[in-house]
Amino acid sequence: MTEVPDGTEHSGPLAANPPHGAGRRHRRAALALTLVLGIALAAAVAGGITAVGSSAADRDGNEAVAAARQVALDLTSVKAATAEADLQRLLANSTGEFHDEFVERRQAFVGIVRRARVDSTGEVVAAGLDFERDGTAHVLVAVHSTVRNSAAEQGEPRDYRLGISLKHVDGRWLASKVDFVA
Amino acid sequence: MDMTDTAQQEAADVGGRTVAARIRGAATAPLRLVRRRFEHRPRQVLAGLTVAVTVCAVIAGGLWTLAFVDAASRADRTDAVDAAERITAALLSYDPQSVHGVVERVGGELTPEFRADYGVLLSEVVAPATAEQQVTTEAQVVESAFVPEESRDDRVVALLFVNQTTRAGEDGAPRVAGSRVEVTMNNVGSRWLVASITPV
Repeated sequence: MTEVPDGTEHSGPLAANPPHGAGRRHRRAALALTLVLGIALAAAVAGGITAVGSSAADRDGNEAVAAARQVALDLTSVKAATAEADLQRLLANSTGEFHDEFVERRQAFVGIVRRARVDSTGEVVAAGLDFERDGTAHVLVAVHSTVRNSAAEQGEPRDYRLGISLKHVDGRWLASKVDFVA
Repeated sequence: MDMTDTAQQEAADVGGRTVAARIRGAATAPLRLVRRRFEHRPRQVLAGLTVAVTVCAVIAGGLWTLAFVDAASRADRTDAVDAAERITAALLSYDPQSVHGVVERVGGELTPEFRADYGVLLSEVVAPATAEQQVTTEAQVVESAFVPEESRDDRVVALLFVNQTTRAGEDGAPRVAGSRVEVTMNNVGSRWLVASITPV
């Protein structure tokens, strides 16, 4: 730093200016710089918040897609032997309307799966994000599933188009509605 | 009753003032230090301020660039999915007359490779079948989504749920068939072109 000590400042080359003139210039410069520093600091903070927010949005979207894939898989992979556990898994990953429907029809669901000796194995062939905003998301999932039951012993292939609505609850994405797109 | 209240109020005021003064003292200590330093070595303080301004400006610039790039890529992929919807519907809608013009009409929105492939498919398979059975088909994209794990900066994969309404002959009953397709969009010179359509 080419710092000029105070003593020299008054008697050195700068002595031509009256000392209080230099002081005033310094004070103005300091004021201006402080103002600019404040603006730059605010811009940096705002930029940081925006950047973090947008990368969080990307992560949220990917997490919503992952959660919807799991729900689609659980929904299309149901076996008579594990019907109760299959249902529990769906309940754990759902909320709202979708959750209530399953709670309501719990007995019927398990009963039908057992009686018809359902053995269905699902596979997610593609999944994509329709939108994600304000803690809600809509994800499309294409599922291929092989369904065996008392009517079709050797199993028949089925393709489903699912539209899954999700809600972000306590840091997790839960399915709130599942539409079979006709 | 009033007396006690006032007394308590005063006590709290005195206590409050002392605490407030102490907080103010602690908070302004660095400021006072700078001020003292400024009085003795103004240029050092000005240089320090200049460095701080530069550093803050560089950080702000970097963060805003990051945020803008992110926002732009999100807008881009929305554009890509919209284009995928529009072009796919156009490619899958035809009747015995219009089937020959599909490539001319939509070809500008396909990559050269896909245009060639789709042209061959249309002229060798689709057009003869359409003419033979007098088929009219109308495609409608009912849902669309962005597939994150297959997309990159210059390539977006869209998942579409398509309904195709097909009518055979003049008075044939319309039949609706649902399908799922993945459409790969390539970014070529600021435009999104269809590079492939794959049923899944």
